[in-house]
Parts: sequence; structure tokens; C-alpha cells
Amino acid sequence: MAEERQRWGTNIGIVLAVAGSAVGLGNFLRFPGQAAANGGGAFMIPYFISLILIGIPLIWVEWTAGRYGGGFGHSSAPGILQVLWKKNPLIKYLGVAGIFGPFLIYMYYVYIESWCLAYAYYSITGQLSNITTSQGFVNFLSIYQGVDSSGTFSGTLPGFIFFLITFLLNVTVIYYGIRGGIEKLCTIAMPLLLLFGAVLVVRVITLFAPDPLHPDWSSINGLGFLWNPDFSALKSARVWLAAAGQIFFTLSVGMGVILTYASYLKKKDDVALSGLAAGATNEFAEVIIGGSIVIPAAFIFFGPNDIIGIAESGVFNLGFVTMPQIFDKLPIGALFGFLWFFMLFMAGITSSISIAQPSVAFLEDEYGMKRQKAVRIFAIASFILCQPAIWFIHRGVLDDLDFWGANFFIVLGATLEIILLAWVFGMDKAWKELHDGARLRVPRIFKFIIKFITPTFLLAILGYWFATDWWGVITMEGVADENVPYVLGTRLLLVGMLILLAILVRIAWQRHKRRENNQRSIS
Amino acid sequence: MTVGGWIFILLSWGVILSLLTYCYVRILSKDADNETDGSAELYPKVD
Repeated sequence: MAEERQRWGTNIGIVLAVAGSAVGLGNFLRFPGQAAANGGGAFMIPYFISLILIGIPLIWVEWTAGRYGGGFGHSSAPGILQVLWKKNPLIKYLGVAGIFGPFLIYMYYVYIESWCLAYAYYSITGQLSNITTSQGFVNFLSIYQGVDSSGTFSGTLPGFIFFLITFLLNVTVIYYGIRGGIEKLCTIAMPLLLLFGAVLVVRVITLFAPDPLHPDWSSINGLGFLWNPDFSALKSARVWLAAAGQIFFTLSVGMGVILTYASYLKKKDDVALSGLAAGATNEFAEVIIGGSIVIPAAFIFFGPNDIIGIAESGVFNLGFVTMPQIFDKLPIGALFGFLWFFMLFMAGITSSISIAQPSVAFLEDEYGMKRQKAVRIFAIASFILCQPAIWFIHRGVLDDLDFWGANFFIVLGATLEIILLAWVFGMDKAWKELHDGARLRVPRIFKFIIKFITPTFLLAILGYWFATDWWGVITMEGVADENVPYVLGTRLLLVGMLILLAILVRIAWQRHKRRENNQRSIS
Repeated sequence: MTVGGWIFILLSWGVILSLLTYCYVRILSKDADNETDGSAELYPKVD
């Protein structure tokens, strides 16, 4: 028999938990690189338009659908989609995407999160300050990942130990449940994360122009590199797609995570204002904190000529190679390095616990398991499935998992959710549901946006992908020959997982049916 | 930083900070006098 349904303790608790899910490494590392490479301040025009036309509507759709599904005792996508479209027995199978997608991201995200914990440790113990050159930091990261077997560390052992610590922390938080684990962690970690971020922003901005030989290499000009608008960029479809992609990536919409979190709300709990607050918190962390640390700091120490290459060097390079070099040049840089990496770690753990919860909720709700047993099963399965990303990172496994989990499945999931809620469940009913217990009257224009504009936008993104990229992705274009067996193996594993999840959904609903028949025959 | 840069940064920060303040003031005022008690109010069960 299932335990009594879990609930959030406070409204601020779920807002911080959803915000924690959304605020991740991408807020501090991906956003500034994207903005700098796509028109600077002008990037914010398609960014805010995408936020209004895609991000905020999807936030409200997921919060509304999640709370509704939770009212029927379902906290994961198969059950929630099934109550939205009761007459279609197949729709629950499409809901598998809402468990598979987050689980897939979990398979590599916890490992990356553990790098942040490791680097926080290496910063505060002074081990990073022994490195003096840019290549030294590149080598340090490679050796830590086990890509290169010579140098400071041996193989992946330290990396694996930090992974184990991070993994156990995640499992422990999930073990204590929604109120005792997730909500408790997020109400401590989120304010702390924002505080650490604010300290780092103040430190970077108040550096002004520390090098008298280069008075132009200042924090204000660094901000200018990110914010000076280049309106010609707005003519490029690539820039608009990058902005839409960033909104998707940053808000955790389409994954099934918000569905699960919102399902633990009560029927009359607000979703309109809470959803908006979680989105606003994410934007604060991304635009104000994320936009004011990496790029201005790199501009101050590397100058206008190198900054373009740095901004386009990718998330890992920015976070784990460029930033440690900058902290190395600061007084008490070890402390600031620790604040930076521990901030990233907190952003990571508040996200990873959220992507674990849909799987645990599925076992609890659809198989009637106690939470502790569901967490144990999840822990064993995810520990095994995290291994390919750790041991074959240099073989393109992590990149492939990232493409399917953090790109393809979230767009697919979001398209499915919004069409189901707005067109199958019915927009009038959905609008009423959104306003049930709401502390905010959503402008009526959003009824039109949710029904017509957002689905069109999403279908256009999916269509564009199928028209331009899908064949290259399927045929592994650009994957080095020696990596093909590893990437292929990863994809076969993913197909196997999808089939297994579909079978688990089928068995669960057969059990539901048997139980209902038994109850009918008894009564 | 150019004038355009200042305009974009001030506008973006202004919009986000205003929205954030509005949301949290309303949510915190609600939470202060209405902590949830953990009891469930479920929808009617439909087969």
C-alpha cells in the first residue's frame, strides 16, 4: 500500500525548489557565452520575446497540469498525461518521455556536478593555485576526468570519489522526501547560492581596471562586451533559435520535473504566481548574476582580443579553465574560487534532485512502493547507468546523452504537454484550472498565446530540427570513427531503457485495472 | 560600454528585479499567514 501522499510545507518551499531545479550550471556558464556570441544586448530582445511566448506559458502549463494530475494521485508524466486525456489509453506511453528525459540527464549531470564539488575543495585547499598557465588548467581538468593518465592525479580515482560523495548526497536528500529533503535543501541552498553569486558579482565589478597598462580592460567594458547591442544579429534566424533554446534550457520546462513538483500541491494552492516567481528567480540568477561574473572577469584579465575566443570556448572551458585562472590572479582568490565552485555545486544539486524525483514518484505512485524502497531502486539503477558518462567521457558518450536529454526530449515533451492541455484537455478548462486558487490574474492574452503561439513556436523548432539536423544526428555525422561504437552503444542503451519504461508503464496500468476490478467485485 | 549597452542592461535588470520583488512580496505575505498543513484536498476520483 502506498504511503500518504507527500505535500510541500510552504508556498515559498515549492517556489525555491522549482527555481532550484531551473537554476543550474547553464545560468552562469551557458547564458553569458550565448549572449556575447549572439548580438550582446540585442540578444535580450529575442530572449525576452521567447520568455513571454514560450517560457512563461510553458511554466503555467506544467504547473497547472502537474497540480491537476497530483489531484488524481499521479506525480509522473504517464499518469498525469493519462488524466488529461482519459479516453486515449496510449497517451500514458508518450508520458514515458517525462521520466526518461530527466533520468537521462541525471546519468551525466551528477558527474558534472561532482566536478564543482571537487574544484571547490581544490580551491579552498590551494591546489588550484599551484597551477600557473592556461594549459596547466586544461591538463588539470583532463587528468581529473581521467582522459590523460599522466600528471598530477592518477586516472579517474579522485573524480570517482567526488562522484560517489555527490551521488550519495543526492540520494540522501531524495530519501527524506519532498518536505523533509528537497524542500529543506532548497530553502537553504537557494538563498545561499544567490548570496554567493552576489558576493562574486560585487567582487568582479569592483575590480574596475586593475592593470594600469590596460586601462580599457575594465569591468564596465566587460559588461559592455556582453550588453552593447548589435542589432544586425536580429536578422539571423540562428540568433532567434539560440534565444529560444536558451529559454528552454534554463527554465527546466518540457522535462517533466515541474509536472512532478507541482503534483504535490493541493487543489487550491496557487500555481500562477508561484510559477512566475520561480521563473523570475531563475532569470535573476541567469541575467543579473550569470551575466555579471564570467564575461566581465575574463575581459578584465584577458582583454578584448581574447574574450571572443573565451566566450565561445564552451561551458566547461569557461567554468573549469578560465575562471580558476582568474581567481588565481585575485587576492584571496582561493576563497573566491571556493565561492564560485560551491555556488555551481549548489545550483547543480538543486537541479539533480529534481530530475531524480519523476522516476522515484513513478515507482511510488504507480507501483505503490514506499518512498525508501523507490529511492533504493532508483539509486541502484542510476548508479549503474551513470558509469558510461564517467568512464567514456572522452568517447563522446556525455555529449550524446546531453543532446538527447537536454535538447531533443525537452522540446518533444513540451510540445506534447502544451498540445494536450490546450487542445485535448481544453483551453477553457485549463484556464479555469490555472486560476483555481491563483494569487495572480493572468492577462487574457496568454490564453491565446498558450493555445496558438507557443505550440506553433514549438512545432516550428521541432520541424526545423527534423528539416536540418536529424539525419546528421542519426547517422552520427561528425562523430570520430573510433568513437562510433561507444556512441552507438549509448543509443542502444537508451532505446533499451525506453522500451523497459514502456513495459513498466504497461504493467503498472494492468495492476491498476486488476485492483479496480477486485474492488468492484468486493463491493 | 555604449549608451545602448547601458539602456539594455538597465531595462533588463529593471524588468527582472521588479518582477522578482512583486512575486516574492506577495508570496511571502501569503506564506506568513497561511502555512500549508500537509493535508490533501484531492480531486474526485474518476475511472
